[in-house]
Amino acid sequence: MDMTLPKEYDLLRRMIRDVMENEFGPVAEEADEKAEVPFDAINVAAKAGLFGIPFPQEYGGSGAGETGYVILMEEISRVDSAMATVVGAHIGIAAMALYVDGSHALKEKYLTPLAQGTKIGAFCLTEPGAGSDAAAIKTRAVRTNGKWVINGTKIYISNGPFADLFSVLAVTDPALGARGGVTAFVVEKEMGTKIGVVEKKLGIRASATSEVIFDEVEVPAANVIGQEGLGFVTFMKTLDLGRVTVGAASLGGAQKALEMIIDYARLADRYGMNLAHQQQVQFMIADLYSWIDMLRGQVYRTAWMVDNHLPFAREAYVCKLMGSEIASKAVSYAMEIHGALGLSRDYPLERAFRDARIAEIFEGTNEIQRIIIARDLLKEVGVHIEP
Amino acid sequence: MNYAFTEEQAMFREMFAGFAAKEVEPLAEHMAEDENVPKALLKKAAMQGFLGALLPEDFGGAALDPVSYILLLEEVAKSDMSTAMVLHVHNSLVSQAIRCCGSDAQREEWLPALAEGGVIGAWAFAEPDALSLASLQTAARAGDGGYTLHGAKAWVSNAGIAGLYVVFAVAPEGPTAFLVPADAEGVKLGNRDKTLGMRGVQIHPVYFNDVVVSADAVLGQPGQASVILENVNDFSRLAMAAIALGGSHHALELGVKFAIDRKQFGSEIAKKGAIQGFIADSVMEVETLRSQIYRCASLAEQGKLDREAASIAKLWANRVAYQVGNRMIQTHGGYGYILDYAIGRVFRDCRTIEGIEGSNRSQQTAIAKSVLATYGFAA
Amino acid sequence: MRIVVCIKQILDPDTIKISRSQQAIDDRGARKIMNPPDRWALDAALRFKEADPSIEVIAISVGEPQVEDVLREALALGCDRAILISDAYVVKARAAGLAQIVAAAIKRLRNVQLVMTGHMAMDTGSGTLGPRVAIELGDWQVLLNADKLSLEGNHITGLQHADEKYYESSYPLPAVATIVQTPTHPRYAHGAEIINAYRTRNVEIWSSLALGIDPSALPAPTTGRQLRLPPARQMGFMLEGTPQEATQALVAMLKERRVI
Repeated sequence: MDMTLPKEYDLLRRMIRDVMENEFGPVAEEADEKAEVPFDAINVAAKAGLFGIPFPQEYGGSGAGETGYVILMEEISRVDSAMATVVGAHIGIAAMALYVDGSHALKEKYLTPLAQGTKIGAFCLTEPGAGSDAAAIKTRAVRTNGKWVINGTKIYISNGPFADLFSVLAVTDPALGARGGVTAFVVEKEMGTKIGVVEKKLGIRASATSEVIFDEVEVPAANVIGQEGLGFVTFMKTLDLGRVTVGAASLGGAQKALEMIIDYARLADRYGMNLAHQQQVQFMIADLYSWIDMLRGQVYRTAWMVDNHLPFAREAYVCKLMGSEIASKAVSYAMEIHGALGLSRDYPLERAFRDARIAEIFEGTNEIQRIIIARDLLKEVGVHIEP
Repeated sequence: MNYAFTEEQAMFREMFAGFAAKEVEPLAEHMAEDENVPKALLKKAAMQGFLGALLPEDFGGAALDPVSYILLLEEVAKSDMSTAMVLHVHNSLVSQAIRCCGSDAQREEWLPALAEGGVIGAWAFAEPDALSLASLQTAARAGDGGYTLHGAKAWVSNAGIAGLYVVFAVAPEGPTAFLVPADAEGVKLGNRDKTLGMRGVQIHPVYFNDVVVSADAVLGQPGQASVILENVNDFSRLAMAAIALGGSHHALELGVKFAIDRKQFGSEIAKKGAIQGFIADSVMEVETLRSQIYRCASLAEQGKLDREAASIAKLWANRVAYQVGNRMIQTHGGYGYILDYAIGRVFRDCRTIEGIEGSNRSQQTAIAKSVLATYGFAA
Repeated sequence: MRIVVCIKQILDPDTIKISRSQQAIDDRGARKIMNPPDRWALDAALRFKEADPSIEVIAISVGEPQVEDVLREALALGCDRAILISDAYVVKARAAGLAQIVAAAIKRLRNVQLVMTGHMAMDTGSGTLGPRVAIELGDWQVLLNADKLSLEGNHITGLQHADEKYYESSYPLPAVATIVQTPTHPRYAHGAEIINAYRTRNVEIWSSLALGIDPSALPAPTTGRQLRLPPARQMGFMLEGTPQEATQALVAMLKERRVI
């Protein structure tokens, strides 16, 4: 069993770190404070291929697979979690939905500009009454004259305010519901989508989240992703992949927090004693290192399973669940050790703390992850549970 | 053993809650956004006697007993922790220090002004590299029948609105506290410290650049700053814990209400076991925190509050505030992350408590030392 | 026409430690990177190629097989070819010997009009490769420590940095240019090019034998006798008194130390 990564991934990681530290590092704090998306830096990132790392080169991607993608997310989060949300929403779910089930023609037309970063994608699933309970969506698509007409409102859509393309889930047969009556579409902004309320958020403020409103939006029949009626399956497969992403992003954030702790403990004195010599601090460092090391193993193993076409859904749940909680813990420890400095908005920990919190919430709250892992395990012994 | 409030305390509590709901709550979101507790609100608080909460009536104070005062902070913090924090620094630190250790002249000069809110107090103790008396760098050079203060203070709460600083500096006699008006020559505010939470509190570094004060400005005796700290620190920790209690209570209330409103998978999430677990654990923590705080307040009333009990209250408060805030924002799911819901702000505030007046580590050390000492072991 | 860019792989100065004996570099956990000024040189060469696609940019390095990684990086950044000169003899070459090997490879390539490299190797602090190669190639002109390069007609023009002055200089081709780092960050490789650099593209491996170099005729490498850390910086001190007094004291001191 050879667990070393091929060398191209080292170079890929270095390039991404270079882009993040040079282009995003200097602007991240201000972008957060003003809640502005750093488009100049995003354009540089797109030129370096960061918006299509996992996808095949025939569709404008880098061909680095899921392994390349987790490296991307890990490195982005070291510097700017808001950017991890922009890229995660774009690659991990919006474009991924097209990649997993789109036809060759649909991929050529839509996945290519997304992978090249010339267009930005958003993933439209959540609705006011359908958060964790995704099957409860109400957005309706009706077939008229060989076209689909979509009506409904999606909420909390990452990248919503500036996306060009939307992967959208809508009900096409209310009688069947999630079991055969829900279809996935790719919708262009120009087809008439509207942006509703842009949300003010606790963290990841340099990403933008809004309502996306479909009011009699006409979509060509060719824009159905996969098969009509099977959109729920497409979206759930996509979200499985998205969970690996959250784990990878959490890994980067946690690792950065640990590095900050070590760096600070080495230099700072409290009550006449160097922090690095305080046993409580040492134990925090040791615990964090252990958790992060296990998380790294989990994330890269899951990426390897994806790249080798093995079933990975359960591993992905673990990535998201443990990743988000380890990252929160890491940032929380870092704050505790930094004392008042950790609370200052002039120091990056405060932002990291607010940002890390989203990972326990989005792409399915951690409660949902737990319910599904348990449901999966209990099903094997013949016990069926309801959420 | 009697755990009931006196009739007076119960009545006060209702009055505090009424004030908080009517005057503080409606402004809370705005204060966080604006990063300021407005003067008009402090004026209203002063009219109620809250800026002289612990002071005797002779000085225009409300003469609240310690239990009632703790209830005041808790009730105000249920609406807004920043406002409670402004009151706390002003009352539990500055006014208390002058009342306990000041000369008659100092009391006459400052206490009525503090009580009526004409002057807001700030506590200039911590320094960039000093969190204890032993490591203070700010110097007080003696000369011409007075002292010249020189040094930089960090994280001074209320600095932006203060009329009076209690400044800790090292005089030839040892660490000494001084009363320094904010408009004294050489006092300069640094750039605002922008913080995660408690954004309404105006925190700044304050520079004392050869500030000349007379010997009358010494609070207590020269070289005896530790006496002042002994008089205020334990109670101040307790007061901070009371603010955390109010904040935790607020978070819990927001989470429970949301869980009742929010339906997923065909029922209110309040019916789900996981959410009930969140609620139960949080209530357990909030209630045990409450017990410890009221017990401490009662000890304070009897003049028996000690370092160990106050540190337990503050350490537990730090943890409870964070954990309860954390669970309740999680209960909100995506809604928790959107600032239209109050839980995001309360979560930020709840986390900020930990970094103010004693980290977890220093409380742990204090508690352990005290326990070990009872076994005759000096740590 | 062809442009050759000479690239060195170095240990990232941020990741090395000095051994306890202070006589060696502790490179455990150190990262190997492209010498940063070489990266700027490569970037300048690739800009010429963007302006004139008929230009072929070839990266050359000399050393152990693992040096291949910086050449793959050069390919990812946009070089047409990458050549690693590597065998048991050349890995020992330093300074003059190195220049002879590089010059031999350049002669073998033909039609090379411009050789570019960084102004200095950030590990050893040496900056002689460019001028030495120029000599070996038959006294080509050298644009030393330059930035803001342009290629017009048969001339290379650039801003040369010397002490604290700048000179705009122009030399006819063929020429050698050594490049300084500027605040503008050099290009990033595209993700796909990074993957391809390893999966589909090749680094050509040349040996001294193939270049017709007689290893025994290479100049002996320099050897080090002892390594020493620079002395710790002394604290400065303040001159007291009025401005006039302080100035007089300063002048007296500078005279005493024979600075003026």
